[in-house]
Amino acid sequence: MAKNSVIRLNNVWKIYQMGEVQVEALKGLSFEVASGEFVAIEGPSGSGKSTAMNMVGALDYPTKGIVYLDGHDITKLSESQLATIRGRKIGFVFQQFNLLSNLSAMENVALPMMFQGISQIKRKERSKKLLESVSLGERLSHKPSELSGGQQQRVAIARALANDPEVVLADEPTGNIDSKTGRDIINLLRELNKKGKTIIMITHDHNLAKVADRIELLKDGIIIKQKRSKK
Amino acid sequence: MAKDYIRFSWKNIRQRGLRSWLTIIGIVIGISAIISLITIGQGVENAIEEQFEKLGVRNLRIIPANLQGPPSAIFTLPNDMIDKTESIRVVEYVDKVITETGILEFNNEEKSMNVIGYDVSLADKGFADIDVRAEDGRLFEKSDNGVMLIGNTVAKEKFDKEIRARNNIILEDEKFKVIGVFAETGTELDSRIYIPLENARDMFDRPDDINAMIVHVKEGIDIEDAQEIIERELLRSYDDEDFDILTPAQILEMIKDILGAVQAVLAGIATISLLVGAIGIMNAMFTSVLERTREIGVMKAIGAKNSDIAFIFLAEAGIMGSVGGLFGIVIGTSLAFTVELVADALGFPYIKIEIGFIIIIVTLIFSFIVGALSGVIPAMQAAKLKPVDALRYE
Ligand SMILES: Nc1ncnc2c1ncn2[C@@H]1O[C@H](COP(=O)(O)OP(=O)(O)O)[C@@H](O)[C@H]1O
Ligand SMILES: [Mg+2]
Repeated sequence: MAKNSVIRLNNVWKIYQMGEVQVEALKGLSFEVASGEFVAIEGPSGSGKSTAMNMVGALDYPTKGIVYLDGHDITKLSESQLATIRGRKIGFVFQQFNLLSNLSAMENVALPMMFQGISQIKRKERSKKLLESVSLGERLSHKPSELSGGQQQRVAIARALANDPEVVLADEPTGNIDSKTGRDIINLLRELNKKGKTIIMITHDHNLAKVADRIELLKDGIIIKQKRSKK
Repeated sequence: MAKDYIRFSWKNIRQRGLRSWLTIIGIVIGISAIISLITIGQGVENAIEEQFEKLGVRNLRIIPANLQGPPSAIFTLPNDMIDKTESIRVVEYVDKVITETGILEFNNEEKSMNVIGYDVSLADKGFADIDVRAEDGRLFEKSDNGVMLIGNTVAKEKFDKEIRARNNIILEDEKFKVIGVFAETGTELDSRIYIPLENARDMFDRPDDINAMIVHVKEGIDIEDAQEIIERELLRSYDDEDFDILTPAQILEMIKDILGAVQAVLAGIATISLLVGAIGIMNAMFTSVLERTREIGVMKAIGAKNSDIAFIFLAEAGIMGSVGGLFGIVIGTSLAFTVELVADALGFPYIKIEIGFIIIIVTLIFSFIVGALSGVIPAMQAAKLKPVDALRYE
């Protein structure tokens, strides 16, 4: 394992049992992400992208194989240890934004810090700063329903950065917003990458994937091709 | 940290608005029942003990047998029992009374009243023995006829115009002259009117019987010995089904027994409503877990441990319990004070409500625990959710 690799999947299988039927969502997936990289996982619908993200983000245990996150083998950790690692090392950005509807923008951004036991004063201060950094300084106390899709996704990105994680993991981050606003979101991710964050973006859209340093092409639960982008 | 989670839970409760209120109704009812139950019960006990101290412990009460509670007009004692009792050697003297209800008319108002026919041949002896004075006018004299003594509350509060000594008043269409108003005693005497026994016999057509005797025992004789002796003597002429002799302590016991039975019924009601309340909270929490499945998934993804999720839901249930408890305390207390006021107005001054700090705290803690316990299973269910499954939930 490379010294600076944050994430490494080694022959990872994920098999879902659906009654009688077994669904093999991942079939021996292996790849590595180095610190500071911008990696896109590209593939058609049903190819196992979200399942791969669950592995990378320590949201679920693999059926077989090993997942290393920041040097820890997640298959050896308890659920609550996983929760702590997720909270500190990974920032999630979801296709459906997944903001808590009864919390304000600022409270949503502050929430991951609450689970890490950070004091309220610090949470307020930091969530305000983060929202300002995604140009939402004027929308601190707005509820998600009072924000546009693009704005909600920017709140979600601010939330992903709350605990200053190593990795930002984005699953179809532009899937629910129009293409122009989607561009802004991608640019935001690129900026974060320039500032040193490791970004893993999942998408079915090749045009979006192209902005990454590297594309892992996923099909039927396995990486079929790896491409370095030419920039 | 707990503070942050509690604030977070509080937000969620507020968010559900009316539904949260509906959820806590059961707890509100249960806790109000418990609070009014305890305070009224305690209040009656306080008042009754106070009464018995005032009424003196040197008296025995002879009442018709099997009669639970205060003398009533349905069962009576025969007149000849009076002479028999008076002739017993341990007896100093006997107050004999007829109790009836009658319509009192004064200043063009009519009110129904407890009327006591009282033996005036003893003049004010019986009153003096229990320290009752007249604050206006005088007490009975030996040959009084067609006169009336009035309880303090009756005189001052029952009619628009205060009744004073020397006023004329009409009872059951007969004219009486008020000779005096009792000083306030804080006992049932305040809400009664007294007329001479012979007047009561005529008015209510009761020539041959009375309702009760209050036997004043001679100085230096033990009250329980006296009870035994009187009972033995009376049993020569009467059946033991004809009368009961009660010491003040026994009367107190009897009232407490009745009170206990009433309290048991109320306790049952309280338990049932609390149970219903607890199930209500449990149900609301299950619904909440279901509705917020996706939220739970998100919180887990951004670092919430199973124990954090469990705590949030437990806090929610506990807070709902406490808020229910708080309203229950307010309503239960108001209920108790209302009962005291109404009872007073109805001439039953036997309730003295006191609300202790301890009972409020204990009830609050109790309602929190009931709420939190109702939340245990839903909270565990929420905590157990797998983040991936919760996130996929639509
Ligand atoms: N929890 C699950 N239970 C059963 N099958 C699942 C589950 N999650 C995903 N799958 C199946 O696994 C395959 C890959 O799904 P997914 O990772 O969501 O693909 P993608 O995100 O690329 O569309 C699909 O066939 C899907 O139906
Ligand atoms: Mg997907």
